[in-house]
Amino acid sequence: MADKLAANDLGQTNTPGDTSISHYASKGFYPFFDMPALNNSKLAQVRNLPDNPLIELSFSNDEERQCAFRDSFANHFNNSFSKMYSR
Amino acid sequence: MTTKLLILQPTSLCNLNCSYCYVPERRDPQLMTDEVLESAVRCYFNSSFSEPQYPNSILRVLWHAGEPLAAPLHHYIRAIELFNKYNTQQRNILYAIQTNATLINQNWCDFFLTSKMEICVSIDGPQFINDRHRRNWNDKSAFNKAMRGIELLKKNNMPLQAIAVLTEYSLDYPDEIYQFFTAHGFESVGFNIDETEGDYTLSTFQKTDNPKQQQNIITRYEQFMQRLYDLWIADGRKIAIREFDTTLKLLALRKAGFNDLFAHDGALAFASITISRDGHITTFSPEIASGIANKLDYFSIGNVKDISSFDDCIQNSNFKQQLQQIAEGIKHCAKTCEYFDFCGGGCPSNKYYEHGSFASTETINCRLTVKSMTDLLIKNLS
Repeated sequence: MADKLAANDLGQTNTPGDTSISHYASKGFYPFFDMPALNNSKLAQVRNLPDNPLIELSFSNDEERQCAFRDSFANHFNNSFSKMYSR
Repeated sequence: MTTKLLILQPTSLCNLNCSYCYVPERRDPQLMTDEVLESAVRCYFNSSFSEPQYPNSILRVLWHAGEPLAAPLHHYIRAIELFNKYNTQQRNILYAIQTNATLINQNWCDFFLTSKMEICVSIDGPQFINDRHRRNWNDKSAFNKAMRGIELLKKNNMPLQAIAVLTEYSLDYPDEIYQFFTAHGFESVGFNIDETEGDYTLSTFQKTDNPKQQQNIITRYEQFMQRLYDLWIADGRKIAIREFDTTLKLLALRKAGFNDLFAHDGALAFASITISRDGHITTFSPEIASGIANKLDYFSIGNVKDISSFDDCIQNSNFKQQLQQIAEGIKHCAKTCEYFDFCGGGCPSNKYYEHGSFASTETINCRLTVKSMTDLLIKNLS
């Protein structure tokens, strides 16, 4: 396995598309509501983790980075075989 | 919205009687009719959900339910004919089957290869662990038959993927389980706990109300995962372990400054759609297709025989109610859980089957696979 997570490990393509929660919510497919800004101790812990190849993202260009960020969560649980096939 | 996963349940029949199975009617040999099958394919392609998210978005069509290979091969050949017939826009489709592997023969392998079918095997580890729960209707081991199927997949150069169900019993055997999957050449494995769902009314992880005993089970899960992680790292991460890979990706994104909210696919309406053998449609978590006791269509939001497009389900009152309740649950999660940024609000099916409502919060799955897993990886990376 590569030491760094390549963008294509994240399940997204290089073509931008709006997969944000607010977009889904605007279409009525996600129960959107006013959310507090992400700001909690657990997140702070993660932000302060030392550099480690296991959690280092590599992008070949800005567009790839932008797409990865935009799409990664939308694809997060859809990669490989997921929990959804429970047994 | 683009549907990413279309689950078809060809039959609820299964040749095994796994003790933790949640699927009802596993001795019923009825097969999804051609009418239901064609209606399902038509409803998908008629719907806005078939519009690709990107030009090369992939729809995964997964057969799952009882044992998919208990249905005849011609059912799948017909299904693929129908997808080809209606897929006039040449959208990318990946076919997949989740199987116990016991019925795999060369005919099936030939079909898997020609249809480029992705195969994922349900097996829990070495025989003494697998035999504990995965048994046939005569209460005999199914292990050797499953291994014959797995060997046949290997002989045909098909990549091996697995879902292993973890019960409390498995927790004492991380070395044996890791060794099993690596020694047999599996490329990936995901560990699903034996969640409370449908007909399976009490997970082995929840068998006690005593807080100390409950904490003991959680601690044992954490020790199991820590040992698995140590083996995985020492081994050069030869096998993809879903729990580590997905959580590490998530941590990487958060560390890199990704601030957007994130939805669990199970909470995203129509991201996945499940069609039962009888044509009932469910969305959100696929597990809810099993309904509740004596009411298998309890969560149904329509039937493919009655509609022309999945878009028609948006107006279904059951759908609206589910969406509203799931929203309530996610709101509570957002307010009360410091792991919300790493989860997005939990899995609706777990919430319903554990608490009797989608509008609830923490489940045993949250506790173990989100909270414990996130903390374990933070600890190891610190």
